[in-house]
Amino acid sequence: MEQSGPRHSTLKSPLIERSDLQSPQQRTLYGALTLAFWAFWFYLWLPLLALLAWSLGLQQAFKYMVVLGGYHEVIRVIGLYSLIILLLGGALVVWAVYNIMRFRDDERRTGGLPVTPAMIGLDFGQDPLAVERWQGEQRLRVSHDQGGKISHVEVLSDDVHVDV
Amino acid sequence: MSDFGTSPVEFFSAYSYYYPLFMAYLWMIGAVFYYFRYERPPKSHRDLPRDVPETPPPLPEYPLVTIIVPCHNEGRDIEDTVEYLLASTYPNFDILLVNDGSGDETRDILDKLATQFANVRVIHAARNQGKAVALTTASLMTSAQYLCCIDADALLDPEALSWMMVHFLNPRVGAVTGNPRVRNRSTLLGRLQVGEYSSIVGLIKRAQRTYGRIFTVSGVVACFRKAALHDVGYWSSDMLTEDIDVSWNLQIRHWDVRFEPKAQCWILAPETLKGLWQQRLRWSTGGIQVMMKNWRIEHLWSARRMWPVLLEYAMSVLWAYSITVIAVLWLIGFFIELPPEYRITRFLSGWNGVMVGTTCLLQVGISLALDSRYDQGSLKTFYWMIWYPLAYWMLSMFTTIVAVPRALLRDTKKRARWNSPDRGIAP
Repeated sequence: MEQSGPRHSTLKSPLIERSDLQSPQQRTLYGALTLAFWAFWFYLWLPLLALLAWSLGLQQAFKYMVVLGGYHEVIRVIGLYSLIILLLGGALVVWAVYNIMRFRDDERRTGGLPVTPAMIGLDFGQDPLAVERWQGEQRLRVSHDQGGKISHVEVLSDDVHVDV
Repeated sequence: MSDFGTSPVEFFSAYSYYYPLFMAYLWMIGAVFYYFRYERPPKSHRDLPRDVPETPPPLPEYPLVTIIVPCHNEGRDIEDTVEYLLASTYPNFDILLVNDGSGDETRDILDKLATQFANVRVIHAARNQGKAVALTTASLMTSAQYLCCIDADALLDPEALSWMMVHFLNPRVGAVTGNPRVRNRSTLLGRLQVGEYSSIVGLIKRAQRTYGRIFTVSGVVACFRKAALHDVGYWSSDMLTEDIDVSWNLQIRHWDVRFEPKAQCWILAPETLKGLWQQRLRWSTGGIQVMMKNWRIEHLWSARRMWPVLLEYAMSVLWAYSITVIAVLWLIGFFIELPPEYRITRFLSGWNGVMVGTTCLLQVGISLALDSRYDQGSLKTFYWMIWYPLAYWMLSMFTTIVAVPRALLRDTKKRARWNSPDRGIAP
């Protein structure tokens, strides 16, 4: 029998990048979806794009953004949003720091007692000695009742017929 | 800018816009705090090249860990999974493979593995029982006091177990979840989920750890202290998402549940729309099931630190219905002249749109900065990602809309069984 151990270098890469295996329908559908979402994302940026376009003729940009007060709305939105984000984020960080300080060096909990076969036997209606034995076996066959509780456990012999 | 106004439509319109926007910033701030407090490599490591992996610190002792792998028709992947597990650098572990009534060649493969490797054990369930029963049965059949549960199609990084075990030095810790990374990147959906797991899942988990409670461990990879599991009665067999349920049960009993981003686990994600929909619908229905289960008066005080997590989840459900109402009214407005109070004239237009677009960019950028150390191949997938937070919220909206009635109408005693997930394109 082989034993476990670090075999890092022998592992194959976990990544699967085979776009060539896509079906034509998949390729078309996902291409269309990509296009639609990119279009929507650019739609979101229209005001900024418009602003940039105006900036190319600086006089017009000055007229709309400064003389006619277009910048008021931009400042109002950015200011209000920043304030809300600051309040929300600040509350989270203050809460996190408070808890770090409060529970530093103040661990009252223990990790709990080890779970023994006797405890399992009591909670699951099994013989603790049988539980202890099952825990040491390499192959088991387990039957359950309608509620999913263990009804029967059979220890399988080591003599396995493998046909793969 | 949207204002909450006085009419219900104005309220829902504003809520639909503000809720995901400000949650995104809360996640970002929480994740950045988490990085500097818990995740940043030590000074000694910072000067090394980024591709040099950080190694887990040595432990005072290495208690036995049993790695439990529930399998249902896993003939295609299980040997690769076990090969990765055997390469684990944690010095004291065994592997317990649970064949949960498979109809394919899984049984024979597991028996073969048990004969090949001394530290591989096998349980055959006489009939298919579902993941929760498989995990509980396996927990009872090992003397180990620490259990690591992983899905049969996931590849655990050799250092992952050591990283997760470090947390159990703290006696309060009941469970630690790892960092799932998507393996299959052949299609748009695969590539999007690469980004999703870092820009949504990774950010949320980090932010929730900053707060101190997490919504759920990842069912695909999580370690447990057996005493904690025994305290909460192990896994519930009637919950669609046994991982969410056990996370809540542990935290309500004041066990700490942690996230370890350095414990990577390579997973297969659905690569068809149908597969993705089925997976997310199950998650969503399971989440609502757990929310309904825990919304009980006897839990309220002991679960007080879970209130913000519960509230956030309830708000996301409300958001799904709210944005649906707004979108439907907006669409109807193209065909029918609605009364002014029901008229939606603009949908994410003006500076609101710029704000949302910028937020997507920021969210993706921050997650890239946090995660690039673990998954250096992910950079090229971020080209697909800038708009993904928008797609994520849409998917979340549709699944929640369908999941709420499903969860309400589901027989509470009905056993959750396995379904065969879509695992993407295989070479």
